[in-house]
Amino acid sequence: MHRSLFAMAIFALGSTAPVSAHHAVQAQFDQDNLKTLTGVLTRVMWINPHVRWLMDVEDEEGNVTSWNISGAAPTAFRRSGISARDVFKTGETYSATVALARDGSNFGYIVSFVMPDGREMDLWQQYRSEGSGQ
Amino acid sequence: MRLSPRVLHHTVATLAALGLVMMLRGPAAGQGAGNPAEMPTPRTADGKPDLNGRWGSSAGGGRVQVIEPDGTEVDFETFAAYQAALASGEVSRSARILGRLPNYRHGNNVYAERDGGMVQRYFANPPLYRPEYWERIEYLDVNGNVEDMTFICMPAGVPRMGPPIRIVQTDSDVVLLYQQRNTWRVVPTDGRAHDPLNSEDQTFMGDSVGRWEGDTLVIDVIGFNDLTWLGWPGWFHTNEMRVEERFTRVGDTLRYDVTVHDPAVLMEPWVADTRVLQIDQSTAPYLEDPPCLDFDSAHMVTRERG
Repeated sequence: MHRSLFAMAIFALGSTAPVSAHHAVQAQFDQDNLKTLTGVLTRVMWINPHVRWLMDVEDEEGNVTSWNISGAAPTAFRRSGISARDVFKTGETYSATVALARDGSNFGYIVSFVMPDGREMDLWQQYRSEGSGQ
Repeated sequence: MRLSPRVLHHTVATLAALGLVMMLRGPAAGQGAGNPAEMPTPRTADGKPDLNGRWGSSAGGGRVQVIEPDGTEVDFETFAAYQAALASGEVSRSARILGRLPNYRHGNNVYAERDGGMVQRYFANPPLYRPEYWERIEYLDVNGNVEDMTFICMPAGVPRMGPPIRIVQTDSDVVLLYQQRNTWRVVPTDGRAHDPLNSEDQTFMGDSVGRWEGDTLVIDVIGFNDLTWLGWPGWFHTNEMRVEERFTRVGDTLRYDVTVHDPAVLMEPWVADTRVLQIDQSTAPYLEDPPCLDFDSAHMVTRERG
């Protein structure tokens, strides 16, 4: 019985896994190196293989740096009922907690957003306050 | 090599959650009344099995989930419904929005990707390559981040992209629609031979011609490039590859069989595992699958994917 379940499971993964060209997130971003960016959302790109946000972040001296933030695929957001313009409004200020790119560029993988009105949106289950039962 | 019970558990849970696939055989499959495979097989006016329809789980939609500070989870069909509930006080402003439903193991991408890699590599039915290509396969496998062309947004191609999500059938051809990157194919079913010009092109989808063998639609595909893979662990092929796809409607299910012929590199034709799709009666709108733009390759610091 377990054998057949195993076969079914492999069967299911085999038939779905190759479809989305998911990159190795861990090869690009360090989930133990988080940074919170606060800035103005300048563009929302609803593209494959990862949704992308561009954010202008201003430091204490007034220098503005453009950050590139990556997330899951558009279909993943769709399954969560999240659409581009409903939730992410360019020109408004968001806070984004990201896992920083390992190559040191201004690039991060989204962990959570704080929306302009203060509501919080989790994008990475591991960082939910109740934990993931590791 | 065996998968741990934990991995097995997660894998089976993934199957249950996806709900994409119906098994036709085996004790766990639905038996008796309601089994879609036991429904009558509809036919078109010319007596062929009717392949028309949405196949598998292609519908869009989803749910918005929010979690109150006390742990209460509330689901909404749309973001607008959630906003309305927020306005009416039904949910609080401090409820966290779960912007991505948990779909990976342990909530940790490193583990999830390692697990995923293991599952892919221990796939029970790999293509059997000639020994002189084993090093090549290993190289491609451990360099997937730079060698897998789908990672720089090239099409997965036939047969890696799998079965279509919708078939439109006429008396002379079938139109196959795929959700990924909004791909389509139009395949004549009148038994004609390959076009001498098109079949010399080197494309991702190849040149397809179809014929009926009894109740099975057989599609023969040649004229491929050698950029695509058969699967994740570096399963490359040459541009001499020939793919045979077989579509068989059984009741309200569609059986999809693929055989890959590439004798220059394969010891024997690769007969992929059968996929069985259930008909989808949904009338939900089809979603555009947006174009793929690669911003990631330049930032990869390792070459192995998982």
